[in-house]
Amino acid sequence: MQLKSGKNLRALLGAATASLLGHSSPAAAADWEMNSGVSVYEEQDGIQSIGPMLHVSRQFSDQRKLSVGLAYDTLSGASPTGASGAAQTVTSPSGKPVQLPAGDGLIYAPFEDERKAINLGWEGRFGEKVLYSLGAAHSKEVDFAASSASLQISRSFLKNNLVLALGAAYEDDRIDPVGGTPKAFTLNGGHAAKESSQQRSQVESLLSATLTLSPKTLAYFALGLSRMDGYLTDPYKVISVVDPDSGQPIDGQAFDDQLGPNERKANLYEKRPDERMRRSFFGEIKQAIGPDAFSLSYRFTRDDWSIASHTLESRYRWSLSENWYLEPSLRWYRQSEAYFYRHSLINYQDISGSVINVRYASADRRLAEFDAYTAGIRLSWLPSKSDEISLKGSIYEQRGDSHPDDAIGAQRGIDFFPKHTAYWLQLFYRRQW
Amino acid sequence: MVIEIDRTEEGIWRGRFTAMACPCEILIDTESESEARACIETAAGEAIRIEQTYSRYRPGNAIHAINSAQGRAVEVDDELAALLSYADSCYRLSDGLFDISSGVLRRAWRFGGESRMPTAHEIADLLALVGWEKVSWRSPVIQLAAGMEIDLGGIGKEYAVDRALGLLNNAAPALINFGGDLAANRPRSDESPWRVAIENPLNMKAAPISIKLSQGAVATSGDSRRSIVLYGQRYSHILNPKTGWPVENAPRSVTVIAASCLEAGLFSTLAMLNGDRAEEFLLQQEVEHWVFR
Repeated sequence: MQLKSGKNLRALLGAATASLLGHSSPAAAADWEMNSGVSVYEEQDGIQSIGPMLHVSRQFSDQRKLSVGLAYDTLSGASPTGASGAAQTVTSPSGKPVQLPAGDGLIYAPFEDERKAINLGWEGRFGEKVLYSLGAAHSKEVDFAASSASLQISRSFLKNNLVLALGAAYEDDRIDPVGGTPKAFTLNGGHAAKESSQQRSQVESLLSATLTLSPKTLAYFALGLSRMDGYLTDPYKVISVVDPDSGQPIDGQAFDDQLGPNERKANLYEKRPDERMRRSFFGEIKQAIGPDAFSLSYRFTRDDWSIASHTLESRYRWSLSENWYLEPSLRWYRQSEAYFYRHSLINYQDISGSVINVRYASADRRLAEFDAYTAGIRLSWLPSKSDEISLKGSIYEQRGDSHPDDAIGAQRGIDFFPKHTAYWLQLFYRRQW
Repeated sequence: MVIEIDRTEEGIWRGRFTAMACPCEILIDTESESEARACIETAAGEAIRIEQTYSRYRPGNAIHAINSAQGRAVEVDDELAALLSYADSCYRLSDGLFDISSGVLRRAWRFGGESRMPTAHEIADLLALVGWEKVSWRSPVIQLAAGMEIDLGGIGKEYAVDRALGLLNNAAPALINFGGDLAANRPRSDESPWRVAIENPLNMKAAPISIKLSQGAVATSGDSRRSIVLYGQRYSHILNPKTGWPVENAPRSVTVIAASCLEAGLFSTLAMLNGDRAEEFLLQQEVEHWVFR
């Protein structure tokens, strides 16, 4: 007697029965789920990233689930180094000199990187109401490796209308910059000895509540606390020292005895604190409207680097038919600057001879004050109950203070925060069986 | 029809009656007597309705009309159309082992009474009238060749359990048990699962296996009451529709847990049809099961 193999017969019978009894197929019929995708990311300034991703999960009886994910990205392009001033050649981390477009004032350095990541997850339960999940992940780039572990426990109350969860995660990172780690505030392109690899760690905790407010409304709130310790500086970023009158970068000779005059401009490697504590609040509401769904979320973060941020995001899933849906989304982000963010260091004010008077300084515009807007749209096709193919396109725009008030002399002509635009195209395929 | 309503020691409301030739029981976990009575009446009403509409034994219903159509086409209503399409799916998924046209084979085998082995000739004659592939079914019209019959007895009880439970709309935790085929909509009001005992057909006095059912269905197929013993060999009342003969070495009983009573019932029936490979079949299907031999 040749009968259809286990999973197939059960799933098909389940679907036929559900159809007869007039309800939608039980989700439990699908034990395996695979999510895969490829994304192409491109910035106006030329950064490009292409990366495939694969995630597979297998549900066992009684809400136990094992999942494995793999991701691979290649990243290439040029990013701002933090140095500013008239066009000049800078030795970059990847060893390639660069020319920047005329009219710009920021120095960019090209890079090429490859990132491989793997993550594992396990979900299980203790009794009827307590669920737990464990996770471990590892990612590796040419100059960076991260390993992390996480744990979350949740318990449901009020007949599953309230779920409270407590989670903790630990991450350990190794930073191994190409060419060695520069000592803070030493001259880029100078003769200062470099150090070996660095380490940093992060501990995070999260307390969250999921509430079912009505059969069509879900709310989620979370409070987070995290602390990072160790090497938090970006080893490739520099900050220029400029003349207090002309605003031009001064001669690097002041910072390196072994240099002759006009060999190098004074671009010093940046320095950030070795500790960062951050608090966050997140709230989200999801509402079903007929076959459509709407969600709105808000996140607030504040840390002891003085950066406070707000994120407001909204999306609407518009069900075009049984097999097609369209989901536009909008996101707005604003952050304030880190207290040690400077677009440049001023000679004689911040520097005395070759001594730096500031404790920390960084010209990395990711620590500056800026607004960012993202608009995206996703089109999904569900050829069957177990397949979904989606195409998503997004455009991202970041705006900051292009002409700070304290720009000096020649700096007034430099656009310190050129409008930064990026495009994303992602293709996803999800299958359940 | 008389429904006996009482309350168990644990405070669960219980309605008992007889339908589809078996004892039926409806358990409702609620404080409110009026809610319990309403639920019991709804569920019992559905059991009676299904029995009257789809029983082979009741003259005047749609099944009777189809079976006496003498080769003519008959148009059926939505519910029967859905059931026939379901039976058609089960026929294909089981590669023909589940076949609602196989009822005529019972004429050769008289269980629970005369013990007489049919002749190969008798079986062959009846097999000519068996086979869903010979039935013309294009919803909502069915056409049987003269002499053929359909019998929904193989899924009737399970369908009644699932339908009756569905009508209660999850109002209160409920467990519906029609002759050993049962289903529960959710755990009891104190969040604990329902406790279901599986009767051991080999030893009625032995302590039964107790299973915890939070939500889902349990169905049991067995031959403890209907079988014949010929020449020292026990023959199950479950006949293989392809050969016309009872399954050899079928287990004494098979109990299966599944999401719905229909699915549980189909798996337990197919397991029995697999004879000595019942356990292997159930393991392959990855459904929770108990088999007694």
